[in-house]
Amino acid sequence: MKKLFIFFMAVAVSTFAFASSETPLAKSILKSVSKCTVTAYGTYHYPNGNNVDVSCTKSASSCAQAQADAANCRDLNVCNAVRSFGLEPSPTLNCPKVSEFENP
Amino acid sequence: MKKLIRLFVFFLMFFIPASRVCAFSDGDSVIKIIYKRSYNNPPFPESTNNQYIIIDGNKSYCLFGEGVRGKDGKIGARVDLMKDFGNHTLYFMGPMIPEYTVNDYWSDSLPAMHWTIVNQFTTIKNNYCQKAVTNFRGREYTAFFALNIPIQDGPWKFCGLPGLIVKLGDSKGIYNFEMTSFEKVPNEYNLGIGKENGDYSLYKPLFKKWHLRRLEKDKARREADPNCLDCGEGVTVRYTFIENLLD
Repeated sequence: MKKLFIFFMAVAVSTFAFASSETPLAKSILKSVSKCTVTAYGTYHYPNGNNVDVSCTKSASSCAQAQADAANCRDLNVCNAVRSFGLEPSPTLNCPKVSEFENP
Repeated sequence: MKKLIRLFVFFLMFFIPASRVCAFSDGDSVIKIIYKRSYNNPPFPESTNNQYIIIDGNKSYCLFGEGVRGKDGKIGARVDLMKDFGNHTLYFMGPMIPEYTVNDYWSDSLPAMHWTIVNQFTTIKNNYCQKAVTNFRGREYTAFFALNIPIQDGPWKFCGLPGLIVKLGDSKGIYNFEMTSFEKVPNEYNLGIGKENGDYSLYKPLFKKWHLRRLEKDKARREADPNCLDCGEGVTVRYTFIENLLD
């Protein structure tokens, strides 16, 4: 009876210990495999009253990277739309040089 | 009684031209109007910008930005649109690169829309306003014009009401304009437009062709390099036209 009690106590303690250690381990595994997804939006008001809307959803292992990729993607698309109209985009946009673009 | 009727007709003759004022002229001054333009087309977030209008004599200039003062002390700005009330013609910028640049303009009728004035009144920013509605090139608009400001102008192509348009929006809530400032300022502007290439009926099919070619080129570029930074599954580029140019 005493042996049985000791056996059950051992099982209970080990289960608790396993559970306690497993939780943060599972979290860290999830962190390393999960991706952060960010969407960046942009709208350009054409002088003729029309609009172009851009949205870019990008995923990366870090949120900072996903944010940067989404913002770059949005700016490039807006730059493209602005330049296709014959206008020079605002310097606040991260636009590549004109030579890298092809007019439609 | 006859004398009274004659007197009434005499005053009426003065009243009619006064109520049809469509321009402003006061020597060295111009009227500067600022409209807050809101664009709300879900799922994209709402965005706003300002539309600046300068009324100088018979001409009204809709500017792209507030303008920049040059070395000569004059303020210059790219003109999106000019309403020439003297010639009943509107000119708008319509680049289609590479054939037509930002210096190429196209003409349109003035006013370009037919209004129905409704018997509804309200006060907006201390202006006593009346309601008017129109269906213009694919969108239904409601406007409120100021009965106390007899200037037949408004934002973008909108004009032709007995008073200045102080608020305007389409039935879907996508395009909205609201006057935020109206003032008389010294005429320090040096404004003008480029070459006129034709009227709206010529511009529309050319724009459609150009726009579709632009979309095809962009599609081809994205297909050639699916991993480019501005490409991929999560990328959406959507064009919205205030007037239906793709019919």
